[in-house]
Amino acid sequence: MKDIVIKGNRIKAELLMLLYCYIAANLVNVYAIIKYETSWIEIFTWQRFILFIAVLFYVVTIVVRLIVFGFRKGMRKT
Amino acid sequence: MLTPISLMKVIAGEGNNRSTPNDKIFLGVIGTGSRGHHLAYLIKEYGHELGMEVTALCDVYQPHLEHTHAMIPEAKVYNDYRRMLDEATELHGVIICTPLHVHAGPTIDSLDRGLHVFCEKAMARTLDDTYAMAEAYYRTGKSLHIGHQRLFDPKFLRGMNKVYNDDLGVVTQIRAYWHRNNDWRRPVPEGQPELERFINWRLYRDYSCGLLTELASHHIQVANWAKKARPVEVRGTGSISFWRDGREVEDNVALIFSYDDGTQFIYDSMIQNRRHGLEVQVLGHKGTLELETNNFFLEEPPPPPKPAGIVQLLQDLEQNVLGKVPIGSSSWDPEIAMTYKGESIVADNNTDGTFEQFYGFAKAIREDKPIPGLFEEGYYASLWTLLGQQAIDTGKAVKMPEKYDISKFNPREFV
Repeated sequence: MKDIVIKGNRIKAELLMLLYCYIAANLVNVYAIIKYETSWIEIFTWQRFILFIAVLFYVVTIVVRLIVFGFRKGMRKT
Repeated sequence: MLTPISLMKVIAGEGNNRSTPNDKIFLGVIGTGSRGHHLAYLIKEYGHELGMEVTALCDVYQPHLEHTHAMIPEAKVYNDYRRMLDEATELHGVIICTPLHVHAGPTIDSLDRGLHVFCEKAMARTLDDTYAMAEAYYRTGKSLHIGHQRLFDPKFLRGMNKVYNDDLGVVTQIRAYWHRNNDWRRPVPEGQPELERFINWRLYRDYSCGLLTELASHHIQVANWAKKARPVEVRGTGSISFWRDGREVEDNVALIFSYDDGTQFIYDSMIQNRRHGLEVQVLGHKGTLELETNNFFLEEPPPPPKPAGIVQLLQDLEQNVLGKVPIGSSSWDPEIAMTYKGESIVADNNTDGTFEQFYGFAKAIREDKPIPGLFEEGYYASLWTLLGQQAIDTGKAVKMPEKYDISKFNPREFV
């Protein structure tokens, strides 16, 4: 069986991507607080939900990247 | 003036301070049928809180008398209330639970002997008997409580406070109904058909006005209480539409009582469907009370707390993506009932005021004077119950004849 090797750069890139997703989720939360004039304390009290949104965003980036990867591979073959 | 606050104080125990454990109130019960037995039971079980004790029982019907005597064997028993009043000299008061047409005699005789009287509602079968009881009440200065127990029910008291505090705004309509699904008959002992009218007195016109005197009287009292007024006119209709079994009282009635300020009190009662049970609704321009079920509703309900911003954002996204796209709309929205659940009037709704009435009765006996304004509530409720029957019988709008106005006895306590 072939070992799968994940290089340090890849881990670093993925963690960075997760961080971007987390920041994006927080920005969405800030936007919602401003738009719906709710309490700023929701920045802290809704962190569990924000983490969930961040993971959701991250999953979306994986799906998008897989599609792009598949598309490029297909282009190369042709 | 009778206020909800003053009655709340009564049921909180104010005015019932017993000086010693021997400071007892001895009561006689005249009429030991189902209601008399129940009230005697309440006093036997809980009357010690008030120092109340039943020491005399009276009934002309031996099985009822024996049934209640078995529960309170220490009480003396009588078949004639006059003999009871003569011999039971320890009595401070009497409870009268006889059939409606024989309320007046024992009440007036007891008041004349200086006793305080608790008489079940309605007061009497005729307007003249009702007035004679009122005359005896004012003449003797003793208390005469009529058994409209909602006057001592905490949810009704707090509800009335809301009406008086303008929480409902202008009350222009009151609606009440009392629906049952049974024939309202009591079993007549086998082989004694001659007891039919005696046992089932509620079903015969000589003794009762049926649904009106037995049930409607309560809600007429509540309507008058909410309006701090008495009606000026009543219209009504009624029929024997289902239980055609020889009874003489209606099993299906509808009445409208009109008040001076334009308020209408709409009442109906029937005994062939119990889907809606009983309710009394006080409808103001700012809110609604549903007193029997302990609910208060605002016309403009307070907005529900807003969800967090992020939740609102997701809800909006969901609505935009999955929501229906209107391609046309009706010019009229059906005015269906609001789904808002309202709020409870009282947190603990565990009494209907039946026993709490005795807090008031005990206070009146100990102070040897009536609770101001209480009798007038019972009087006008009873009177307008009978006028409602007149409206049904004549098919005409009926007003109260001047001679039954009791404000001449005590203008300050006028309802």
